[in-house]
Amino acid sequence: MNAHPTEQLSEYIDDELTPAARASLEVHLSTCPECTALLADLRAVVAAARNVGEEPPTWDLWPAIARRLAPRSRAPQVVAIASRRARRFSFSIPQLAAASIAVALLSAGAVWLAIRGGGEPFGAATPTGGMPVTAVSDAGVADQRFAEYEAAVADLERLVDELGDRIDPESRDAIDQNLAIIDAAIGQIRGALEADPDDAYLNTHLASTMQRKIDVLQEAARLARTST
Amino acid sequence: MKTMITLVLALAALAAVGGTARGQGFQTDRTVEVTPGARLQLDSQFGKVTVRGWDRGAVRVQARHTADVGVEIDVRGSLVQIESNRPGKPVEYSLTVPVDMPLEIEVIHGEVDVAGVRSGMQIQSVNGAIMVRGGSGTIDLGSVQGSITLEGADGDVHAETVNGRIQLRGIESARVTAETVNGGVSYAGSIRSDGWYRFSTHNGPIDLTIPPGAGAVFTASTFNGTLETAFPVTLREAREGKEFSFTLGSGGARIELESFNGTMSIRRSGP
Repeated sequence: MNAHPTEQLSEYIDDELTPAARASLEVHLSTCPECTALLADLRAVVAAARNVGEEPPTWDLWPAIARRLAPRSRAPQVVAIASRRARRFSFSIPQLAAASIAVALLSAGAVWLAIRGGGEPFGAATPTGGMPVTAVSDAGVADQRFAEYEAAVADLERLVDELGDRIDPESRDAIDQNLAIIDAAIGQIRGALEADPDDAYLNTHLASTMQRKIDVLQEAARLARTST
Repeated sequence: MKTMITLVLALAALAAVGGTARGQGFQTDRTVEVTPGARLQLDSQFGKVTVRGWDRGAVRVQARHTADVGVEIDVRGSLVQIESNRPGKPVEYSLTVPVDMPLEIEVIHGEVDVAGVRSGMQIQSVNGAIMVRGGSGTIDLGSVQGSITLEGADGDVHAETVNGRIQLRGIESARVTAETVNGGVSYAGSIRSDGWYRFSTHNGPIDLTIPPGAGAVFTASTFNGTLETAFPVTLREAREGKEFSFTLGSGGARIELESFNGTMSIRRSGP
């Protein structure tokens, strides 16, 4: 068995390993925190993907986000939930990080639902966005995904800027200050990744920090909607 | 100018709350009976929220606010909802609830202080610290700008902020996550053999105090920081000086530490 048999984790989740291979992997997992953590993260990503509704996105921004996330070499593709469930998820560590971001963007889609005033109340809705599973499960380049993410987030930032006058000044200042803190952190992580693009910690840390940025943007959108 | 206007508004809000508090006491003071198992939801925009537990099957709502504000208490079956009819006006809440009443509290500006409650809770604040003493079950504490302190709780703990430190003390839990971007993280509590503990920050130290005899598999990741242990361990470095792992005792629990820029310290509790 490889030192870190990460290529078997997706088959493990899909219960597609032979009994012997499964047993061997479980022995490895029992002693390897890195692979155990990776398995947990992968399960979280897969679970999040499966929780996404089947309906295609209906809000205006999503096509742009989907285009940003989709592989450049092919048209954006939305995979139906049924086929998603049958699909094998194979990730490298950077791809896993990118997958986490893609899932995060599903939440970002809820920002639009909230602001447009349609759909379910913010925070209670299951995003109905077309999960770009193809984008994350295809062998795309992780750093390209990060760049695409940033462009998509920029769209959301512009939206929050437009709605800024609906948010009370104190909240707006707090949001702005914390977005700046997150941006500074992202800048540092990106700088570190330039020297070591395959570092698992840096990739996952970048993904989680980007997720935090989306969380804050979501909060800003919620405030804009609920402010009196 | 923007800062000045903000400051004036903030001072005016504080004066409104503080003035009424000193001069007239609580403008709202109502007690409603609740059914066993009832949960509480509170939405507040401006003002501190204090929650204390008692042994009665009732919720007492005390609030300080200006005369043009009303506090609405809506009891529907097993749900008690509390909110102001003027969300833009400051209201300082003091709630007394059954000790086992689950709490869902959302505050935009203001501290949240909870004590004496043995229930699960979800507390969110945009701009304000969260302090909880007690709690049991699922405890989910989140802020954007504010520190988080949790003491003497048991159950699954999730604490997350952007700009503030997270302090977890006296925790009995098999699942703990604490994540901040700018601030330190400290944990002192149980390490269960089937537990999973994750502590992460970008800027700040991580201080972990574990019981004597605790067994765990540690992974620690950093970029500019260091790892310090108060006891000898045999480190395995996945990346020199940046990613470490080691096993303490017979293993069992899984503990993950991440600080991009800070020092990660591990010590044992007791003498």
